[in-house]
Amino acid sequence: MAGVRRAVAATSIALSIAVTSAIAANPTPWRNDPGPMTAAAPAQAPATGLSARAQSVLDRARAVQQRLDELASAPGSAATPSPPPPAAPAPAPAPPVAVTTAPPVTSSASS
Amino acid sequence: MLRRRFQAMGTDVELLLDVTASDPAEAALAAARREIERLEAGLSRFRPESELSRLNRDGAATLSPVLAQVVALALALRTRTAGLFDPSVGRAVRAAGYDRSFELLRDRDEAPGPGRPGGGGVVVATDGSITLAPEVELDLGGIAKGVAADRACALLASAGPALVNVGGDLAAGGPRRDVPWTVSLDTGAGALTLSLPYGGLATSGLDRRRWRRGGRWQHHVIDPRTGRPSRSDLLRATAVAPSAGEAEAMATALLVAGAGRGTALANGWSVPAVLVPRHGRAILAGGVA
Repeated sequence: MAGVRRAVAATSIALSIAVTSAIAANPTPWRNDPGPMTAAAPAQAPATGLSARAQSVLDRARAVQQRLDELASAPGSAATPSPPPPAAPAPAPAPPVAVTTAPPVTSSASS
Repeated sequence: MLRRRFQAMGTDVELLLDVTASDPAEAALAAARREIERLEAGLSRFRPESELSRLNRDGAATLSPVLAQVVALALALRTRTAGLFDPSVGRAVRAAGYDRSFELLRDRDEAPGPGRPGGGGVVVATDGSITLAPEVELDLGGIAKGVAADRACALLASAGPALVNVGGDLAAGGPRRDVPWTVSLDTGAGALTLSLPYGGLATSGLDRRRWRRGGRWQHHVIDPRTGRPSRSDLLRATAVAPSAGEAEAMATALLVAGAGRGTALANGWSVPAVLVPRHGRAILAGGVA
């Protein structure tokens, strides 16, 4: 388990940096929601001796980071940073609804 | 009124088209059905070959534009609901035991797995590629039926006023000639009928899709804060929004929030809602007149 924790911590740091850098460099290509990627402690990712589970986590994290690096280094992303994206539009108003005594044409059961 | 019923996405689907029979109307009904089945094929967690399964398995994938939009919408709604709706709880749903199509679920003696809170990292690029943080899996079950209803309704609306009902998640493609669409809700103390001129209406509840693990009831609505099935004091929540996809996510968020906070959120978000507590009378909120 310690190997898993070290691997996750190390890759979390790398991912957090990559996400932050990518967004700072070029915010427009992202409709991103990186979510929390908390770094617990700095650690050197062990290259050997990992369990299959830890290795799987590490491989996946590397794939994530590779993709993030590709996006961050895409043409125009760092050299010519785009202007900040426009503010997200406010959600459209909900349609008006009212209680009625008219007969229903269908029903909404819980899904 | 033309009406078609069939099974898809693990539930009952109903297509209503308020026109007289014609070839264009039949073509629109057929196209709407194909669209729902296409989305099911792409978004199902239970089909190993689906785009969603591939994404969850590999941690990264380039999805078709429609499915990438569904993921982007789900993430936007996670933000809008302050995380009360969260598509990144796929592992939590599986840990609770919902690891196969619902009709195949059986009660089991083993205890459910540990909770897995939401908030997982998901990166969506404009080219449709999606990358998941380690240990994150997406479950789009809280929005897919609504989106399917929206897209099918858009196809139907080319032929006339339309309503699509995918397992209780409804999309209305415009008011009918004389009166709005009317939708019945079960409040536990009788039926309540709402008029819906257009847009989406969806109900999320804890009383459907239940099973037992280790002698304890489980259900499919995960509270992203705990990563376990919600222990809300609400039994069901119905929400109205501009689209069925949004309504479905909002209904889940209000259900997870519970009666007190859910009422305040519906009012604050101006989301018309009907909240049904486990005990007591239904609560109308968010501007339901």
